[in-house]
Amino acid sequence: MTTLAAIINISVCSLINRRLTVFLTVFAIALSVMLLLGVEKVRQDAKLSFANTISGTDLIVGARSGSIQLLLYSVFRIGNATNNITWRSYQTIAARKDVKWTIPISLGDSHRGFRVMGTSEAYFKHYSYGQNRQLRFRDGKPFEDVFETVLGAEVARNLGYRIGDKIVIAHGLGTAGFAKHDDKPFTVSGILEPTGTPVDRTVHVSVEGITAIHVDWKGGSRVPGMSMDAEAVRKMDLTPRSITAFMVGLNSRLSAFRALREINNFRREPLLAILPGVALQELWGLMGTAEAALGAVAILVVAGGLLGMLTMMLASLNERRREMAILRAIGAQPIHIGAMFLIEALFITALGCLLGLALLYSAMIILQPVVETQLGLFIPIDMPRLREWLILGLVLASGALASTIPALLAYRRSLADGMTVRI
Amino acid sequence: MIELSDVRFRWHRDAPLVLDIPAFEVRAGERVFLEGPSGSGKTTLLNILGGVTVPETGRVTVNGVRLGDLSGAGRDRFRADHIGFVFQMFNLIPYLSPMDNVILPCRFSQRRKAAAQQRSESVKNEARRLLRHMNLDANMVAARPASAFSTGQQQRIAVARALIGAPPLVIADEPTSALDHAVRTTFMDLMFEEVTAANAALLFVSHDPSLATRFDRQVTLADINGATA
Repeated sequence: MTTLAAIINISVCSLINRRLTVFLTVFAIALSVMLLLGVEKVRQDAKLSFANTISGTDLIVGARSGSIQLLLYSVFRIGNATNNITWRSYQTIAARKDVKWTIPISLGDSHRGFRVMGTSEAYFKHYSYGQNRQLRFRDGKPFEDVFETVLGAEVARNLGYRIGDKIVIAHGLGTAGFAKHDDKPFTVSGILEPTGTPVDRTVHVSVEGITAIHVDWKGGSRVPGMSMDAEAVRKMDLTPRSITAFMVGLNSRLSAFRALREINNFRREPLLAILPGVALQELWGLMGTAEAALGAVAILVVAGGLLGMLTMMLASLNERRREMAILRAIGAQPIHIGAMFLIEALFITALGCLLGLALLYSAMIILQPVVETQLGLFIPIDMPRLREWLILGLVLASGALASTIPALLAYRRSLADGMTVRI
Repeated sequence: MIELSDVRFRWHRDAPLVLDIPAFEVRAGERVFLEGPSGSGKTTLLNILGGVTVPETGRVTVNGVRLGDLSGAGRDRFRADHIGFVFQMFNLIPYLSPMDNVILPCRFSQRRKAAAQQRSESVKNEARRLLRHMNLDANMVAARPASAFSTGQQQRIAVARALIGAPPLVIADEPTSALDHAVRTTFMDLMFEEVTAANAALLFVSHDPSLATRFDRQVTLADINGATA
């Protein structure tokens, strides 16, 4: 026991004595561990974040395009719709007997970088996320008037809006959109609780509101000489002619496939209906390759870090021959000398893992708000999970395995050198 | 204390013999001066006595134990328990303090640890006592690493380490050749005093015959070694 304690003590003192090279080696391993765990975390949390964004919706219907594309623009506000669908088709499908509720989605405008979505009150009643959680109001209530708007939590927080503030919606999605619907401002009627989904970054208005701000527009710009004020517009029939997509809740899950088939074969116009879960799976399939590539790179970087340690230990082998001979003269066995190198590697790798964890969590604390606002991904900061501990264990085991090379060399050399070294 | 009979050694089967010692003996408590120029098989002899190298034939007995009967690890433990070494230079682990260097044998040998504790209550006290006897201030040597000390001081620290836990045999391999003349005399005085106080046998190897006079017996390696390289 004392012998083992002595060997550990000597190893630690020796590491402290070589602190600069040891620190650099530890740092290289820490960076690689941070990358490996980071990739793993983003992979898991991105999936979780995506999967948590929508629940309880049985179908999403839009213009015919790709299913992933439809999913991305309708639910995640990523990318754009290629085409709209007509209000009549929407009404026809909404009237089906197996349909319980529908939520219309009308996209294309923005407010200071945040996307504007035209929808109906059904959205606040039926849209759910996570484990069947409903949207809740932190302040105010759903829009009732054409020119009222409900803000996502992030929009309100970021731009400092409160109930009763007036906002102007810009045409198109650019942040610096110079074409503004500034003659028809919207009043904030409600602010939602944070959800950790793209809802937080969305400005919600009624589909009628979207129609209203476009009555005197044609083809993306204002029609010259034709300008109507808000009051005049309010009196018009504001039923939209088209919307971007809509979500469907069915009376029974069992009828989903039949409804899907019938909507995809819709006569009047080419529609696409998707099951959100299936489309998500397709998305994972698409991301799988990128994930694998990232994972492979991370593993190679870890291998690089461990190789750095191996190089350092092999380089130190020669200058430590005297040390090993002294220990042998005192009575250390060759196996003790080998163990010193193993212990050293375990120390370095364990320190690298710990520092890597610390770096990862610091990076997450710094980057979390940026990632949330820029990418809409909510990365929760929580304790490492079993899988992450397993990865760390694997890194540690690899470090120990790599160190068997210098340990074995030291063992053999101390056996041959004995108590005297000829240098 | 040491008994060699018919010990032969060569590096490999076709090489000439390095050592061929029909008989050599050091009695308990005896102080023997072994004179031998470098290259005379001196290092090999010391490695054989320490149990690090195994002779091709012959019997090596140290403190009544036949080394040939022990395993490799057993010989290492035996060396830790019974022999204190002092080499020409590079005796100390440079990044450990002199104090840690001195107590190191007690961490590899329970026997020497127990002996040190019996003598001075704790291993550290015993180390302090020995360092003091070797004219080293125990407070001064605790803080700095061994590499910060002069060669003369390092050699005296090495003697303290060889003596801690009272091993019955101390082997010194040219411990004075790196020291200048004035320091050498003091070193020899201190070493003799402490080895005598510890009642240990001393095998002192050197090529400097001027040091031989104070020993009980003087042996030339060439006289006992039949192999003439």
